[in-house]
Amino acid sequence: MTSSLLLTVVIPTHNRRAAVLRLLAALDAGSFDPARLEVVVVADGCDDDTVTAGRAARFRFPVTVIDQSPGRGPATARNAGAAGARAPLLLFLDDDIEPSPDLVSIHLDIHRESSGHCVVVGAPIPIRRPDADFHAIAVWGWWEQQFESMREPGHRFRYDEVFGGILSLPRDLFERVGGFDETFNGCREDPELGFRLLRAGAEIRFTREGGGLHHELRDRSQLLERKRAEGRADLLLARAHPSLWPVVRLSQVAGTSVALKVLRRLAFDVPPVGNGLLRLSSVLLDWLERLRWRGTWRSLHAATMYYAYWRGAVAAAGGARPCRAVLLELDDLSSKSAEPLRELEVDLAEGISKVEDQVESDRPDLLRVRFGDFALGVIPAGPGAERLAARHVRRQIARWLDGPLGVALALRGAGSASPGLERSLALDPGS
Amino acid sequence: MATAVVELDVGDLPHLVEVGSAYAQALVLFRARGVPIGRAELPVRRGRIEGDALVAALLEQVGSLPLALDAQAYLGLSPSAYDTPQPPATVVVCTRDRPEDLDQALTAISRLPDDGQEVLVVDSASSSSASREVVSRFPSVRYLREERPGLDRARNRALSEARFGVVAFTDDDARPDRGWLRALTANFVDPRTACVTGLTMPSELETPAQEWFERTNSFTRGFRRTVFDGIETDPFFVARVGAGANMAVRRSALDVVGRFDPALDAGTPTRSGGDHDLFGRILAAGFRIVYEPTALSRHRHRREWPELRAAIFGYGVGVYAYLTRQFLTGESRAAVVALRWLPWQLVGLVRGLFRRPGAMPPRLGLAELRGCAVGPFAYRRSVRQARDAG
Repeated sequence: MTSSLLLTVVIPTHNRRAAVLRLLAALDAGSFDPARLEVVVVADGCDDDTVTAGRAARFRFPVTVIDQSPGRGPATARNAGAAGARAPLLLFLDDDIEPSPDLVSIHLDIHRESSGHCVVVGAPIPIRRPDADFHAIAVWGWWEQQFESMREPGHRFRYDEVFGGILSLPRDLFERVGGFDETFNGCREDPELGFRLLRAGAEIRFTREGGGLHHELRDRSQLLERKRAEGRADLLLARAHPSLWPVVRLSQVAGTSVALKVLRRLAFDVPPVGNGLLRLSSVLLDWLERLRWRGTWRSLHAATMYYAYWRGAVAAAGGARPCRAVLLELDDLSSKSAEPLRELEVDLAEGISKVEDQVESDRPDLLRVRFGDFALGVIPAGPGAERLAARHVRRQIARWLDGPLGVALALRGAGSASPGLERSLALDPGS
Repeated sequence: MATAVVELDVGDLPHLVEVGSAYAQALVLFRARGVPIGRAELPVRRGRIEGDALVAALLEQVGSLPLALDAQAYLGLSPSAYDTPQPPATVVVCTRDRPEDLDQALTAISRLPDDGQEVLVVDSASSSSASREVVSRFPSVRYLREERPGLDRARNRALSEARFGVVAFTDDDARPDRGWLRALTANFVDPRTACVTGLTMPSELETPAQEWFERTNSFTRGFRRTVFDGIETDPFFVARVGAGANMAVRRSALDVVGRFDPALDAGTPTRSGGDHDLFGRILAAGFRIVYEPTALSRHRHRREWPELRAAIFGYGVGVYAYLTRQFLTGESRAAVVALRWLPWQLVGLVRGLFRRPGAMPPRLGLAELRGCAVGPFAYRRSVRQARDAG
């Protein structure tokens, strides 16, 4: 049986018996050969009857339930599930996901057509209910905004776009990078894995169709708690991977507005006042929603999240002074440990296909582009972003260098823009 | 003197454009590879527009956009959806007693590339069978008769009858361009996009009334694609979003935000405002509206002053009727927006009285102001009528 197995589904869960059964039932109704699939449920410190119910339920595929007691967090649970897997591919599903009927077959298809180091991220699609309140609308919009850019052809993926809720990858790749880092249990463990996968040369793919419904969106107080956890986790992340420091929010303090400076000051130096305002803001947010003053609600909501994030970081560092010291240390560490960038120079006059071939074989971080004698510019390296590949080239050049390329084409007489425009450019080549 | 409306492709700009001695100026629409990219107003001398003036206007108004389009073409990236078949949609024309305009609209629609779209005409309580007869000359067009008057009621009927998930609306006095439907529907790839509006240019500017309308109430919202995201956009600033004469909606999103309010818009005491009300509710619900300037349609503005005055009065009524509706459904900011807008109306009126450049003529300004005052009462009357009509 093991030889025909293609995919092990790993489901970490904590006290969500009904959700796990819903997930398994949805998987069971999916369009795939059940002989190709096994499921490992990791009950992480469950004190409901998830373990009994999971073992008693019967599906088209075998289900193994690992009882991980006491609970040790989702990263450890996922690693335990992966350790018990027998198939060459792993698919991690969060317990609050209801997979689309084609999820498994879509992930299998993408892996079949890929080069063997592909990581497939499925969309955890939030449900937009007609009676959604402002907070639910904001959370739904945030998720959909993420998916929109990830779906664009030629998108250059970043480490933080590797969502662990629906994630499949070859088991040997997962093992090679060392699995989830268990020091990040509960927050940022998936982007942290994403960073190591990108460094290992993994190719990220995103699929909305191979996603599922995301049932348990955080309410306002859960999101505040999550922001505190993100503040804590970002300190760990920047320490573990100093090259990520420029893109971690903790480093982005220069040039921020007066309001954000005040919020940081409250989080660092006068948390009793900040916490009092946070409690007051909860009442205010309710009133603003009743009056339907969306703009003010959004600003206040964002302010509370920002404050909670910084409180999380300050608390994790052990207070305001140690936190400031840690931030300075991380800033210093980042500049000292900067890794050399892999650069490549290409000539677009040789044709876009040739450039794509060069980029695919070299996989640079940064691309210098010229058109014959004209230096068009640079596609920059993105900290925590994929190395450039052929699939990125056209969109990245269009994004960064379409203006200079258009001018170069006109000066060469290779474009079909207005003859008048070309005449004026020819008269003033410096323009 | 009248304004000539001219279209030119920037890849083939002539050295001289003859428009005729009846025109003192010209409104030029520039295209690149068939896609609308900008417009300019130019003087006409001895019935001609000089090529140098065209190039200068092109550089000033459009800038380097044609060069960027060339770059995209060199990279093998299509700058628009014009040449790419899109999933089928339903095209709807709501009409009332304008058979000649309807004939032109359907002629333009019949020239759209065939992507499997269906075309519906909703005849909103017309007084004769002329519209039905026009539709009978277009065999692929489905005719629906709505006995109860009201543009929003007709739009809702179309939403109920449409076969496809995306429904594109055009007015009977508009003529969609060949790439119109594809440009609209291509934007629905994003599931949060509930509505797409397009660029509406005048089809003619032959009379002073039409020129004034274009100057003060133009449907053109620029040539830059703009995404109005309900997560961050104020749902009361909907005038810049576009107009109902050129829009497409996703039916499933309207199941969440609600359909058109039958108490609003043409054919009811409120005279307009149905599109703005829907745009506001879409944004308030966190969905997106995309303004897509390559979705071009041409609109015939009102030719005579009495028609124009009635239209401007109707806009005033519609805006305040829509704000009243929003207020009554719990949007307390509608009152603030209504009060804030009134002083601007008065300032506009005073500027018109002193004949300041760009100001609306006083009789139009006054008509709009009268409409604003009437709006809330018109809405109340309209709701009552809609309730009685069932």
